[in-house]
Amino acid sequence: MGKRKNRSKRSAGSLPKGLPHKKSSSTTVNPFECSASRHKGPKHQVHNRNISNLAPKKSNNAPQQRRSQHLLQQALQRQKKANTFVDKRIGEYDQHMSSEQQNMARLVRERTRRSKKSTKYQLNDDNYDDEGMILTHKGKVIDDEMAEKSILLSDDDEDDAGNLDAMDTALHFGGGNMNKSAAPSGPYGPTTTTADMALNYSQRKTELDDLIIRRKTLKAERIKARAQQEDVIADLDGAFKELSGMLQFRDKEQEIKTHIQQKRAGTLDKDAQEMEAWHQEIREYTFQGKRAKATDRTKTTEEVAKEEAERLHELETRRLARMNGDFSDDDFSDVTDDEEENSGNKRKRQKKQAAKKKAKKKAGSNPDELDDDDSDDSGDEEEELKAKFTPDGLVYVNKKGEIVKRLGEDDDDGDDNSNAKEEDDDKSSSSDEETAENDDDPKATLAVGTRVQGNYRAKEQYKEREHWYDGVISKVNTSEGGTITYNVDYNDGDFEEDVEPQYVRPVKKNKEELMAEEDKNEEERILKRKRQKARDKARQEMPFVFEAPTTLDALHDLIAKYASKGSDASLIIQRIHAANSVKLDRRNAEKMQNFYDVLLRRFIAVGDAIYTSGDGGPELGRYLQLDEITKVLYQMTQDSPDCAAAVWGRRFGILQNAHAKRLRDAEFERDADEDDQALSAWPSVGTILLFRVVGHLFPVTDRRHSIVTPFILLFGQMLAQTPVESMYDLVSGTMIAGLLVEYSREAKRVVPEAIGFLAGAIRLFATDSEERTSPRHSVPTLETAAGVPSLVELRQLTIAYKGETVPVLRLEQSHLSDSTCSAASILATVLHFAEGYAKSLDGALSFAEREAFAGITHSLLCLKPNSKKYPLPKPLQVKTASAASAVANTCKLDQPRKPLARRSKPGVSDTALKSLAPRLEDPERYSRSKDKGKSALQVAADRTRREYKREHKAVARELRLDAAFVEEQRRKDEAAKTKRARAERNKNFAWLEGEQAAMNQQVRQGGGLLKGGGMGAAKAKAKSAKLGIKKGGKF
Amino acid sequence: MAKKKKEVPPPSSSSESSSDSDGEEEPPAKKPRGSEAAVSSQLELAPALTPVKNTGKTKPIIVLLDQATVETIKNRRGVYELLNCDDHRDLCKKKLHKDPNIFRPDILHQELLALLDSPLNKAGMLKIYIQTSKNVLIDVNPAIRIPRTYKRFAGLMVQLLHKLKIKASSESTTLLKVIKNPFSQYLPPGTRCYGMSCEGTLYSPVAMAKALVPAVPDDSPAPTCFVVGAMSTGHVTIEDHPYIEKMMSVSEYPLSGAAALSRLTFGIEHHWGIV
Repeated sequence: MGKRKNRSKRSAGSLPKGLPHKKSSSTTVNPFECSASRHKGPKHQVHNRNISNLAPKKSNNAPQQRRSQHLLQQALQRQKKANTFVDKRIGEYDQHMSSEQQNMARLVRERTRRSKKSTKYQLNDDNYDDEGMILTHKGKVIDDEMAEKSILLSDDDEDDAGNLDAMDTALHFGGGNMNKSAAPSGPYGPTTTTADMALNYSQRKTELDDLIIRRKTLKAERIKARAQQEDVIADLDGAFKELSGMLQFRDKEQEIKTHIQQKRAGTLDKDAQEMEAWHQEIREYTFQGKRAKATDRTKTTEEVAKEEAERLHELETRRLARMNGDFSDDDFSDVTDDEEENSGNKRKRQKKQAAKKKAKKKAGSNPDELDDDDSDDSGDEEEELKAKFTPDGLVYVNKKGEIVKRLGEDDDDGDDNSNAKEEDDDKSSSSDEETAENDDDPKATLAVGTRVQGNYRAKEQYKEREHWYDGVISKVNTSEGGTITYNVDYNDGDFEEDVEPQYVRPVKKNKEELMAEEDKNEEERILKRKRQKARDKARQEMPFVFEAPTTLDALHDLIAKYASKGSDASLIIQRIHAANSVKLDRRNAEKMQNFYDVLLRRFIAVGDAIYTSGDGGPELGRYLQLDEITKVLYQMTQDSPDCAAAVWGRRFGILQNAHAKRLRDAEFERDADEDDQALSAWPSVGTILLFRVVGHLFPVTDRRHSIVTPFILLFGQMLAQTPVESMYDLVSGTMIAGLLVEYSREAKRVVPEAIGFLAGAIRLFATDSEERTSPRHSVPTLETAAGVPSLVELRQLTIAYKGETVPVLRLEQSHLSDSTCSAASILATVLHFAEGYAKSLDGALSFAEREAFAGITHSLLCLKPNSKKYPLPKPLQVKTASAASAVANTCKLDQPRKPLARRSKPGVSDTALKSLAPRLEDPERYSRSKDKGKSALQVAADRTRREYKREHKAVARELRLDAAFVEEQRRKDEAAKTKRARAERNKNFAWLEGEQAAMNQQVRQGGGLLKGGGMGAAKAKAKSAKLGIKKGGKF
Repeated sequence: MAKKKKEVPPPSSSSESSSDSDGEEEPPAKKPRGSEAAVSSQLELAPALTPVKNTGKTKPIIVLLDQATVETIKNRRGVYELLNCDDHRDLCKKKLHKDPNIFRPDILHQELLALLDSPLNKAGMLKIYIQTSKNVLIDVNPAIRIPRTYKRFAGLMVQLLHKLKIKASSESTTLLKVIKNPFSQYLPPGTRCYGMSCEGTLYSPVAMAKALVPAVPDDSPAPTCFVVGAMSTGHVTIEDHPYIEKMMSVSEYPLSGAAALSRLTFGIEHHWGIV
C-alpha cells in the first residue's frame, strides 16, 4: 500500500528520487515559462484530478510589462552608461512616516543587524565598544597609537594620513580652526571670525568650481582632439592611396622568371625543389577535383542527341575546312606523322584506297552493293595509276602498291590542282627556303627584310676603302633597265638608299642560326605534310553530317558513294539518325518517319541478301549490319514511338497483303505446272528477320499491343495457312514458329498454331511412313508436305548427318541446298523450340499442359531415335531425349491426371472479418507517463533531458523576444531623434522642388529669356531664346 | 428489379400506414431475392479465389452509439479509471454533484459486444461510431475484438481517452480512434439516417430492414445509418442529430440498447440472408 502511494505521488508530478527537489513554487517556476506553459489547460478532462497546485493564470502582457519596465531600463542604462541610485533609506519616501518614526525604524534596523547571532562569535569583538561603534579621527580609527601620534603631530595640518582630502578634513573636523598659522593673531591669540569662515568656504567653492571647469575643458579638448585625429586619419588614408600607387614593391614577375630559369637550368636549391614538387602535387589535386565534379542529374535524351549532333557538325565543318585548305586553329590531333607508320601502313592504306575505289565502282554498277561478286572488280584497276603523296614526294603507284613513277621536286606542277593551291598558301614559308638556297649566288635578288652587310657609301670612299656594316634591306628598287638597288637600314641607325648589289652581301649565318633555320624548315615540312595528309584524309573521309534520304534508292546511293564496308554503311545510317533526330527538332518527325520506313526496307533487302549470298565476310558483315540497323531503329522508336507505330502499322498492312497475294500466286502456279520449282508462299528471309525485330522494339508481354499483337496473329495465320512444299518453306515455318514461341514465352501464352506446327514438323521425321503423312495433331499447312518427296524422306536424310555437334539451322540458300545438313538442323531446331516452350509453360496452365502438349508428345513418341532401321545421329538422339524429358516434366506424365474442379465461391471463413485484439495496458498499473517501461535511471535522464530542452527553448525564445523588443525601442528613439533633422531636410527639398516647378512653369509659358528650366519642347524653346507666349500650342 | 422493389421510407407523419404496408409487402419480397441469388450464382462462374476485401468500401450499415458516458476519473491512489456508478457513487455525489446513475459505461460495453459479435459485422457490413456525452467522437474499426469483461473494457476506454488511439496488439491497424466532430461529415452522401427510440414508429425488425435497407448489400448506392442511444435514461433527439429523418422503434416495449441492436441486426441479417 505504502509503495503504491509513493508511486502515485511520483506520477502526480513530483520528481523521481535522486533529483534535487525544488523547495517552493515561487522558486521552481521558470519566470520565462510561467505564463506560456501554465496557460494550457489539461489535455483530457479527468474528474477528480487535483489541479489546485497550478499557479493562477497570469495575464498575457506580463512579459511585455517586464520588458518595458525592467529590461528596457537596463538596456538604456547600458547604452548610456549611467548609474541610477537606489535610495534604500528606510521611510525616506513614505509620506506617512514622520522623521522620528524614520529614525526609530532605522535604529531598530541597525540594532537588529547588530544583534544577530553572528556578531557573538566575531573574534575581534574587543575592538568595539559596547555600542559596537568605532571612533574615528580624520577617517582613521582612533586607537592608542593614533592618540599619541595626534598629540605629537597636532599641528601638522598638511598631513592627510586619513583617507579624506586634507582640505575636506580641515573643513569637516577642523572645528573652524582653519589655517591656524596663517590666521592673524590678535592680542589675545589667533582670532577666528565668521567672515573668515565664509571666506574659507567661498574660496573652497571657487576652487571646486575651477576644478569642475578645468575638467570640463579638458573633456571638451579631448573630444575635439579625437575628432581632429579622426579627420587626420581619414586624410592620411586618402593620401596613402595616392602614395601606394607610387610605391614600388618587390618584383614578383622577376622572381617567377628567375625561378623558372633556375628550374630549367636545374639549379634550384633543396627547399625550392621540395616546394616545387608540392605545388605540382597540389595542382594535380585541384585538377582532379575539377575533373571529378559530380553533376546532379543525367542528361535528357534531347541533350544527348543535341550533343552528338553538335559533335558531328563540328567534325564536319573541320573536315570541310581542311578540304578547302583552311588550317587555321587546326591541331591535327587526328593526323599522325610517323615515318615508320607511314612506311608500314603504306601498303595497308593503298589497299584500303583500292578497296574504296572498288566500292565506288561497284556502287556505280549496282545500287545495292550487297551482292559481293568478286569477279568483276579486277578489270580496269590496273591501267589506272594512282597519284600518292609520300614522304619521298609524289609518286604514282599501281594497284599492287609498287611505285611506278616518281616525280622530281621540280615536277610539282604536275600534281593536281590541290597541290597548286597549296603552293600559293605556302609561298611565304617557301621564300625563306629559297633565300637560304640562294646564299651562294650573289646575283640573286635579295628579299626585303634579309639581313645583310652593306658597304657604307662605298662610291664616296677614298680609295674604295670598304666599311661593311650590318643592316637589313628595307626596300628593293628595280629600275627600268632591270638594275636592282636596295635601301638598307643599318643597325647603327644609318640609312642608305639605292645601294648597288655589289655593295650588299648577305650575312653569313652562323651555325646556330643555320640549325635553327633547319629546324624551322623541318617543322614546316612536317606541318606541310600533315596538312597535305589531313586534306587527303578529309577528301576521302565520309561526311559526318548527312541529310535523311527519303527513298531506299537515295540511301543506297549514299552508301555506294561513301561506304566501302558494311560497317561504313551502318555508320552512315547512325550519322543520318544523329544529325536528323526527332529529339533535335520536332519538325524532323516527318523526315524521320520516312527514313524509318526506308530503314525497314533496307533491313529486308539486307536480310534477303543474306539468303542469296550469306553474311559476306568481315567486309560486308550483313548480320552485323542488321544488328546496327536494329539499334538505330530502336533509338528512333524510343525517340518518337508514335511515328514508329505508324510506320510499323503500314508495313504490317503491306506484309499482310503481300502474304495474301503470295498465297494466291503460289496456288495458281502450283496448279499451272507442278514439276517446276514452285513459288514459295512463305515470306522471304529478310521479312522473317524483320519479324524478329518487332520483339526487340516493342514489348511482347503486353496483353494487347497495337503492333505486336497483330504480328503474332499474322504469324499464326502464316503457320496455319501457308502450305509447306519445300525445304525452304519448312525452314521458314520453323523460324516463324520459333518467333511465336519466343514472343509468347514471357507472357506464358499458349499458341496452338506454334504447337501444331512443331508437332507436325517433328512428325515429318517419324520412322513410320504412315505417321509421317497422318494429319493428326498438326496444322493444315503440313498436310501438303506429305506429298513432297524431299520432305517425306527427311528421316533418311537426317541419318546421313555425320557431325559431332548439334547442327545449327542457317538461312543461307547454300545451306538449304545441302539437304542432309539442313534436315538434321531442322529437326534439332524444332526439338529445341518444343523443349523451350514446354519449359516456359511449366505450371502455367494448371494441369492443362498435358492437353496443350498432346501433339508434341505424340510426335516425340513417333520419332523413335534408336530405331534399328533409321537410327538418329548421336547429337540428335541426345537432343530428342532432352526435349522428351522437358515435355514429360511439364505435362507431369508421371502423375495421375487430376479431375477438373469447378472453382467455388469464397467461403464464409474467407470473407469474414478477422478480429483483432486491441493492445491493452494493465489498468491497475496504467499511467499516462511518457516514461512508461523505462528503467529508473533512464527515466531520470529522459526527464532531465526534456526539462533541459524545454528550458533551453524557453530561454532562447525569451532572449530573442527581448532583443527584438530592445531593438524596436532603440529604433523608435532613433527615429524620434532624427525626426526633426529629417523634417528640416525635407522642407529644404520641398522648397527647392517648388522653386524648380515655378521655373518650369514659367519656361513652359514661354519665358524665352529664362535659362535652365522646363522640359521637352519648352526647354528647347527656352534654349533657342525665342520670345512668345504659348497658348494652345501657338504664339 | 431490386431497385424497383426498394422502398423509400415514408415520411414520419404517416407512421402507422407505413408499418401496415410493410406487413403487406413482406411475403412477396422473398421471391425477387431468391431470383436475384440465382442470377448472381449464374453470373459468378469463376469468381476470384482470394477473399473479397470489403474494408476499403463504405459499409452499408452505420450505427452511431450516442451519448455514451465515457469519462475518466483519477482515484485516490492516482490511478485513472472509467467513471461509473458503482465504483464512484460517493464521488459523483460529493464532488461532481451529479446523479451517479447516469454514468453507465457498461451500457456501451454491452451494445458494442452485441454489434461487433453480430454476423452482420462479421460479414463486413457494419460500421460503428461512438459519441460520448462530452461530445468525444470515436471511430470503431469493425475488426476490433472488444474485451469481454467490463474491467478490461474500462481500462481500454481510459487508455483510448488518454492516448486518443488504440492499435491492434499484433499489427499496426488502428482499432479505436478519437476523431473530429461533427459526426455528419463521416456520413457518405445520400446516407439515410434513422434514430432508434421506443417512442418512434414501430416496426418489426424484419419489416424495418425491408423498408429501410436495399435488398442486396452491394446494391445500395449509399449506406443507412442508425443512431442508437447508449445512455441510461433519455432519448436520442433530432435536436442533437438534425440529419435524422425519422425515429424508429423495434419493439412495443422499451428495450435495453443491446437488445434493440440485436433485433436490428437480426432484421438486416435476415433481410440479406446472412446466417
